[in-house]
Amino acid sequence: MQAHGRAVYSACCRILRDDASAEDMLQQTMTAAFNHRSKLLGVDSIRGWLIQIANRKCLDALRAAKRAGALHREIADRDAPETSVLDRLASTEERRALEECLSALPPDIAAAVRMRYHDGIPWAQIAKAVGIPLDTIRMRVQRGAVDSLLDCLTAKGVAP
Amino acid sequence: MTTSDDKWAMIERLDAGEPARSPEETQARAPYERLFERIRDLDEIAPPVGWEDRVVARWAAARRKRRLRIAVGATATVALAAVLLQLCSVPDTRLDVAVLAPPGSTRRGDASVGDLLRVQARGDQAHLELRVYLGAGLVARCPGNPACRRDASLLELDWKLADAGAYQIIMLLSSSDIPAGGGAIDRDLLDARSAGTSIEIHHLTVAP
Repeated sequence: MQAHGRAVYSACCRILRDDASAEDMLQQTMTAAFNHRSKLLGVDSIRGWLIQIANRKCLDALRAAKRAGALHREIADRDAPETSVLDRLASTEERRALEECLSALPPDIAAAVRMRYHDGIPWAQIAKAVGIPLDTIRMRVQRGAVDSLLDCLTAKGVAP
Repeated sequence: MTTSDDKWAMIERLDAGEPARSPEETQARAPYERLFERIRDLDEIAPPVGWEDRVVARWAAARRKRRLRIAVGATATVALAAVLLQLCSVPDTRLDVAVLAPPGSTRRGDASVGDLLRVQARGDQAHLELRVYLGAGLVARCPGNPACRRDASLLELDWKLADAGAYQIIMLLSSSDIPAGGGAIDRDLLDARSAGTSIEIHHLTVAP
């Protein structure tokens, strides 16, 4: 649990942009993992499994918050990202530019990009986590999001 | 890379970890490889101190809650079963009246003089009594009559119907003493009701 806390918390921070909500989701993820620990024997990577659970929970929370509207505006409002969270997530200007470009993507697509290229999670598990069919999510990332990120980084002065 | 299809195929191969197929592809891959490398190198931040303890506490609280829910559910199920059992159980209180004609007699109406009245009363309370009234007057009571038999919570009375008229066979049941009665039926029933006795009445007309 301790070994993967950082990865799970960071994933939640990137989706929710709120420390308290991210820790709440971290706790929920670890509690869920604890309750379903028998499944651990069948997973290839505990880290990947936890990140998959965390992403699903955080995206669900974000969708629920958006539905709830004003009640959860602090995490639902993606147009006004929590700068302190971004500051802590990005240690360099280049990383901050990448975080901002990822933030500009739809949350489920950005989550899929991070799960695939940051965490190395297989597409099938990503599809489950974001709740989008396998071929659809792969196409949206490979044929859309990847080029959008390159364009965004170039616009921010980061050499591709 | 000349077309979008070629580019997407190249990205798919790169994603799948396949090597580049040509120097041109190597060159075309470069920005994507750098992008994926940048994403791979994204920072991770530590959760607030003490998060592990909070996870354990939350898990323990959820487990307690789950156990409490199970206990409450089990208790509710047992209570419901007990209530249903109580509701469905047939109350052990009953008054049965039968009229037995002597062999060879001709039946006229409900009953006739000379028939045998057989009454059975079953009650689940401490005090149980049977009374037979003809008109307003008491003609038999059980216990208190030689023809009365008692077997645990069952009282049985065989009474020869010697007179014609309107009979009322009454079962009295109470957890406390039943007023002795012995007067007119109205007075007796009034006293019995006042003492909290439950009363069941069977009417029988006996023809001459």
